[in-house]
Amino acid sequence: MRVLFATWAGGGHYAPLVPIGWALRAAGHDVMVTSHPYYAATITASGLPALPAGPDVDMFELLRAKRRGEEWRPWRPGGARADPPRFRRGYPGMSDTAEEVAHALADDLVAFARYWQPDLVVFEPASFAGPLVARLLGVPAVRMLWTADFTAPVNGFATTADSLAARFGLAEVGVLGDLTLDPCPPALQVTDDLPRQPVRYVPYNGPAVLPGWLRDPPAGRRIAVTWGTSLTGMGGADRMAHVPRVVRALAGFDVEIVVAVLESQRELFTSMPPNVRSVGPVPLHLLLPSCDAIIHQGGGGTLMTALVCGLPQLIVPSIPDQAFNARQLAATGAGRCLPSGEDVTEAEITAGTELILGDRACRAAARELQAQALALPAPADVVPVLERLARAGTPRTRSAPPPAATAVAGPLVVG
Amino acid sequence: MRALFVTWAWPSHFYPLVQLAWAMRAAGHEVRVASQPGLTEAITQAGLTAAPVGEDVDALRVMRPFFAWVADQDRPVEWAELAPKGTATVRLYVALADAMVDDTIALTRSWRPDIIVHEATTFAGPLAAAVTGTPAVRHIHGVDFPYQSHEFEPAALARICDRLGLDTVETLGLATVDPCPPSMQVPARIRRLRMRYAPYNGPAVLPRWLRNPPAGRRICITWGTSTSTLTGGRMFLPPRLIAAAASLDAEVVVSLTARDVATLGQVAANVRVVESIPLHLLLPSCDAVVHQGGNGTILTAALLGVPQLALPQLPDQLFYCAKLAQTGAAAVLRPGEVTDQALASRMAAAISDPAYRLAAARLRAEMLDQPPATQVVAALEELAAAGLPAGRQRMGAV
Repeated sequence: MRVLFATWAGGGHYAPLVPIGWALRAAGHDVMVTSHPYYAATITASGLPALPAGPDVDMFELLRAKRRGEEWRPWRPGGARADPPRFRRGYPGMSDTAEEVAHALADDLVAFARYWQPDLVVFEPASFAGPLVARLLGVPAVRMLWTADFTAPVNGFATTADSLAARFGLAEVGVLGDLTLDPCPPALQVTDDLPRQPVRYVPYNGPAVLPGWLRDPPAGRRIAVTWGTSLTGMGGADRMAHVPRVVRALAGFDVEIVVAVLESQRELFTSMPPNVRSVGPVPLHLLLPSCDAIIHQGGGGTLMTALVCGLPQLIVPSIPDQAFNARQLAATGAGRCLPSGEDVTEAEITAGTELILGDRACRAAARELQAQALALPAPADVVPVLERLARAGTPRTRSAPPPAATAVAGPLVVG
Repeated sequence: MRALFVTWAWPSHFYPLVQLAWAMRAAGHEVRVASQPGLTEAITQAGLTAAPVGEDVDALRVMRPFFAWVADQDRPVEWAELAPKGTATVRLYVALADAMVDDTIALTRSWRPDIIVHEATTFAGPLAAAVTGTPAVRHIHGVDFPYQSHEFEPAALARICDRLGLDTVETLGLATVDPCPPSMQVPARIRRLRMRYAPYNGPAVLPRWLRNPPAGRRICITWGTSTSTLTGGRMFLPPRLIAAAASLDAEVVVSLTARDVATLGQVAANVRVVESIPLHLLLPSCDAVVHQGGNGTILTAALLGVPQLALPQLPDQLFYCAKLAQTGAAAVLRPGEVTDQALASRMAAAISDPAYRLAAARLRAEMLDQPPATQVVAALEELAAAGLPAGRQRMGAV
């Protein structure tokens, strides 16, 4: 079958889709991943084929402009939209942004999908262009989560993606899809009645080369400090100002500290305690198996990678989804959520670090969560579920317009 | 479990491993790909974790005199002619093993993989497996040409075995993963794990012109990634193929490496020249493909049910194409048979003769009948769990 993937141009959004793509390719299915043109290199670096669509939209510039209260709408079909951009906060604000980005991708993507005729669409929660295409073609849409389901409440908003639906003559886009692929052990997840298919989280953190120093076991205990990739892009240096303070608070611990950060974040760390082993980019799935605990910003990819490695986690969140992730994790007992970035004190960091390094209950909870996560069906085991879903079609009435006459795609079928 | 894939640094030897590596990752297993530094980017670009080992070896420098000699013959130089040279036929692979083996052993000792999957000509894999007592599985990328030299390999590797304290080494592994359609494969005394082929031909971006069906018939001319590098361009046929295609009522798409494109010059209006579009994106829109007889091209076209015209020149290509021709899905012209008239008539036949189309559809159906990579993963799990047969117990593992 043919499976179309849709993603925002951001690591935290795309990376969780990659192992699902590998599983489908390895089972002989065709996969095509769509996002903005500049993101094609990131997609192909995961081994999957890229379909560039729409104009380039700098996601982080868009979010920064929105934060400054400036014009942030990237999409101009035949000139400026008559209605002004909305400046709502919280969930409605998030879905406004996702909707505008979907507008930018939509024309190219719909045209391609009418030719290629995917049997299934897989999308990450912010990529509304995915369910749009699925709805138009009358095929099932599958939503793959980043971690705990932060975006499920958008279901409650009657206006979610309404302008997108209206532009294509649909009553609604259905941004929650027909099925949700869920990498969370139940203890980490919210409770609701969405149809969910558990799928084991397989870490993919971008291009990875095993460094020499990670080929031998650490001499003693090791703690990882990482701050993801998104905050730098969203807010510049001010979003990261407290991180060196976090590292300094670890000076008194008898542990080796590995600060795994982007090249662009490295300059923040001018004076380092002597127990710092390394500062710079390290793929988390190679680093974390050698660590005893982790301190981070609460990004979904970091949280899930640490979770499947069985590490207790100390989280210092800055933005709403990170705070949500941190609270969900803290509720399992496998870590602690500290006050948001700018307000956190050294004393709180020290106490939190003592907990994740020394507290037996916390370590046991982390190992229990790991065991639950690793017991979920692997992506390869979920492929038959997706095949059945594609064969069964959608429960909705197939009210979509018939495919264009050019949509003959016989020889494209693989598998 | 942990799987260590081992291959020497040559993309057409690495790409066939990618599908199984993804299947392992998608099944929740850890995977690292050990190769020389020169392959690091190709590995990370496939989404996999690279563990650089040893030093790069200039394979071209080692092999160029041989390929230059082959190019000058203007007749098929087949395996039967090479076989009497014995251990000399695997000289390059022994040099590669020498350059990779120590680091591969160190990596195996520190990471402790449950299984080693090695590309058939990468002997650092079986050597590290023997030294550390790790189960090893061999992976071939099509018709089993590498098997032809297996009887010479223990002797060729004797010096390295001696240095490592091994009596001998088994280069065929506990089993062989085989993506070749059974009807095209040659016999071998091995335990075979058949696998449905799924193409990975390098980083892939779908260009805009491939997002609509072609207006009429389309034929693809491609020359792989290795052949013109190996032969120094002496037997580079695409310019003659393009000229011969002028008489066809079809759009001609020529997909070559950037270096090969630069040698082409002006082409006719019905010819579209592109730089290395992955074949699995291009061939679904094509009615036939003309190529140099490389394994990746053969199997990708076969899986997609596209009739082929193959122009093999090197001994391994001749070996593959002899089997390909037997399926009826391809016309084959060998050195000495290549004339402009023969090229034109075979291309026309590949596009329009229903016999090729029918045989290609049969070959495709046969390939789709093979077990998917997920089933091979299950077999590897069993092999890893069973460990080594009696008499080949772990030794030297830290």
